[in-house]
Amino acid sequence: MNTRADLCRQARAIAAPVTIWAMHFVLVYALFSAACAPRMLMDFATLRIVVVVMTALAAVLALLPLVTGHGAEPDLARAARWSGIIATLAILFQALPVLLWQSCG
Amino acid sequence: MTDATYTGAAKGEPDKSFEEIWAQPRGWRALSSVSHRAVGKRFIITGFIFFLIAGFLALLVRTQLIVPENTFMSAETYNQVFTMHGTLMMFLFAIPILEGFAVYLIPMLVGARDMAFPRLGAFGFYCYVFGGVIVLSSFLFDAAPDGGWFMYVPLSTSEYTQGLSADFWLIGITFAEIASVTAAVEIIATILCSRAPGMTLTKMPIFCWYMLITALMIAIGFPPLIIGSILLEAERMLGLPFFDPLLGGDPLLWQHLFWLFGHPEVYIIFLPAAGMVATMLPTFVGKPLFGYGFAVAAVVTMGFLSFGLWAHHMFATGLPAISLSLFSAASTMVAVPTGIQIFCFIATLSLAKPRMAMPMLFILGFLFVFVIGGLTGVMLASVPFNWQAHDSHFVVAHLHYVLFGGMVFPLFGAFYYWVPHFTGRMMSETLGRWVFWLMFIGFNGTFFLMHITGLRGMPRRIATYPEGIGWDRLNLLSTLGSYMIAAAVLVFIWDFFRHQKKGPLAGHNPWGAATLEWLYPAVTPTHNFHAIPRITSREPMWDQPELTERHPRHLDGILRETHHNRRETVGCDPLTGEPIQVLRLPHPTWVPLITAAFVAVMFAALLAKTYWLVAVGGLGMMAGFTAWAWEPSDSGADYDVGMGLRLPVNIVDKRSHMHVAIVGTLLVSYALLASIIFGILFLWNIRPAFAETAGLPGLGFAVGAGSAGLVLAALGLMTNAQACRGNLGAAAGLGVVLAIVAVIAAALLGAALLTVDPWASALGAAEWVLAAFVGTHLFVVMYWSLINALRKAVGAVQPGQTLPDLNLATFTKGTGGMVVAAAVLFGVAAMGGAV
Repeated sequence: MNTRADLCRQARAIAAPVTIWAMHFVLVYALFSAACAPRMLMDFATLRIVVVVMTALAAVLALLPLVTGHGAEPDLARAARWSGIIATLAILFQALPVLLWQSCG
Repeated sequence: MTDATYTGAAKGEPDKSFEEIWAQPRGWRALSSVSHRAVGKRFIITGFIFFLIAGFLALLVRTQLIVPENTFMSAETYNQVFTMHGTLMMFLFAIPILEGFAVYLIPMLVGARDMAFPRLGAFGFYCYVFGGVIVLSSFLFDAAPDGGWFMYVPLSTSEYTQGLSADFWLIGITFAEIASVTAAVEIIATILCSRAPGMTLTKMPIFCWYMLITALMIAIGFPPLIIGSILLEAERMLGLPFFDPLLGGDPLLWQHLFWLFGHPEVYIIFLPAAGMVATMLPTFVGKPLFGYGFAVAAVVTMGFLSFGLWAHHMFATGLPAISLSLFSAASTMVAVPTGIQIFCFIATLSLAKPRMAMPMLFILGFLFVFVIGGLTGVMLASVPFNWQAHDSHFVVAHLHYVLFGGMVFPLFGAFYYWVPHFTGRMMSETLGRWVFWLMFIGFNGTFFLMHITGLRGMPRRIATYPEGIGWDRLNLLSTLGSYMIAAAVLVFIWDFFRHQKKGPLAGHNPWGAATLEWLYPAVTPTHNFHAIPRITSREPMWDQPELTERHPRHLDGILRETHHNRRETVGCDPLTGEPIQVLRLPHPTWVPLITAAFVAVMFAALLAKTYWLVAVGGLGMMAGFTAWAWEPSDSGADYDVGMGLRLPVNIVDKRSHMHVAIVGTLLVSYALLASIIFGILFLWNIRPAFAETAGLPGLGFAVGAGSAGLVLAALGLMTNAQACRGNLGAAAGLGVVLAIVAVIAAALLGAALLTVDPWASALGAAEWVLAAFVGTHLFVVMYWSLINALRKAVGAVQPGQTLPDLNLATFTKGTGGMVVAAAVLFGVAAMGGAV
């Protein structure tokens, strides 16, 4: 029998990675805008460091459901695992430009 | 309070049987129907009519392009025709018709007797119809919009588009969008809060996952366009300079706001259709959907990732290259969950040999066409290729492969699949095959060739072209293909009317489907479940023989027949699906139609610039909503619902459907707020020189407003706490104080901006929009708290009937947060020199 708490944890495990992806995406976009729009609020080197650190943190957090997503409902556990995998890939991929570019371009 | 003391029964229909209580009103009274079956069918029929109109416009477009140097239409008419084609297809056909299917099917799929908010559904439908009529009526005034379905500025500003054509688009579409947003809120609440006993999240039909994510996407994705439309209309009507570069505005702000809506919109259209495929496919394979967990992961991640793609429509606008890389990466990554989902379908197909009935043919057509559209999407996600193909017919081909393949093919499959529900008969397999093959060949003939036309350099949206540059034959064939699609649709319509008399009777569960909408024999009655059964399987019609071995009227279940002569269903815990309440539902009422009519008056008068009539419409709308809310509360009773369960009516709890809807509404509100703040930050960052010219907000007033926001949130909680303790007098008094604080907060926000001239700079105008938006929410808090207080004062509320206070407390918390956010922004602006 599923307990409500168990289901709640599994539902959160599905939503968490993509929420982290969304936060990472917004922050990366905001940082790119800060560095590359006319105001130039930060330089490119700083941008790169901040994005790399943020990306490492986000990737680790997004992968957590691989550990925490198990529970009474195997389908939800699978959904949580794959949500984590897809979100992590997306986080890493969308941060790649800071490594490939030397400037805003 | 117990059953015996329940006081809300006066709203019921005494001496009527279960069937009579759920019967549809007849004749002109049918317009007062709020049942999901009536509203869903109306959405579907109206959406199909818009499809036919928009399809006819497409034929005009193709006829114009059939030969070079064609003079069939003038360039001006051509602009109107392709603009209206896109507008009708995207806003008035695709989303509404899918919502119609959702509204019709979801209650039956989850074991409910109706949607959680039937009046809201009816209100949304009438807003959709009236909005659609406003948009279409532009043809009568020779003022049809002609700026493309995306209404780019500066072309659509009053300087370059004089007259009312852009106003018809902005006002009509914004009005029609109300339907999408209201449908989103009620879909979220219905799926989460009114499932049958035992239907946990993983026993939920997969279609409900698709619709849940789609509804959440609508709640977040539509607000940017609503804000963009308001800004553009304000620029056209009031001269506020949001997009005027000479005053610190930026045309790209419109593109950002439009595509923040526009790209998720593609998935908002695709996901429900894919959900239909995921529902139909197992029926014809005879096996459950392969990889339910994979599909859930795919649909959830697609829902999120699709919001990170908007700027791939703006690759040619001069954004920094690193930003292009970000959006290119996100655009590529969305292919991963999409691919997972497609592989789930293919793997399901591999489980057994499918029956090649009509819906199955359309599913295969969907797979073939949509995958090609997806692949060209990956090509277009690549910046260099995108630059090459930008604004060419290649893009037209790609978007039709995705939208026609991803939505129209599944939709026609769905028509064939669910038509017995509506008519009790089966459509012709022979004619159906004609429909499919004409459509399939015609579609690929039209649009596959368009890839080549585009790669040969033919731009979109040109009224004609010179001969002899390699486009002639391709365009001729594309046009002939479009005529084949039209022929397919005509055969379908003919068969639809023909089969209602001559089609074979469908009988019970004609496809042998697994889901609950086939519980009753076709034509299905106007009610859903005489008793709501316990669900123990994701494929209940296959795995639960007790559901099929006797007439559904005699099934075991809870809430058998009616109590208190009322329409009602079971409300559940959002996660476990276990019953927690009896959910009282409204009977037929004219209030949604009358309220929507007043909203229509308001919008139409705005278009006509007849401002006294705008006020009349607004007051009528307020009166309508007040009548809606002013009725005896249903909370406070509880009774035996059978099978050993005793449930409260309309429980006062955060898991209540009404509270979930309030949270959903706040989600929409915060997406609107985020869109405005995005606009402010964008203008501040992109146009720094002009930011300096915007006046500075008053720091003291901003701090005062922020403090008032915090007090507001606290007062909402205190009012609810007093009401829960049964101190209704104290709660009423606090409600009045809450209203006063809401007015004070609005006044302080306005005062903070007295030094900011909205006509002097785009940034200043955007700050005023933020204040007006938060002010609107404060007005709602004021009005709502006064209504609650008045109801307590006149004895319309009994102890225990505190659901409105709980809902208001949550809404007030949300509004308080908005006030604080605006105040912080104004405060930083005041201290920082210019935001």
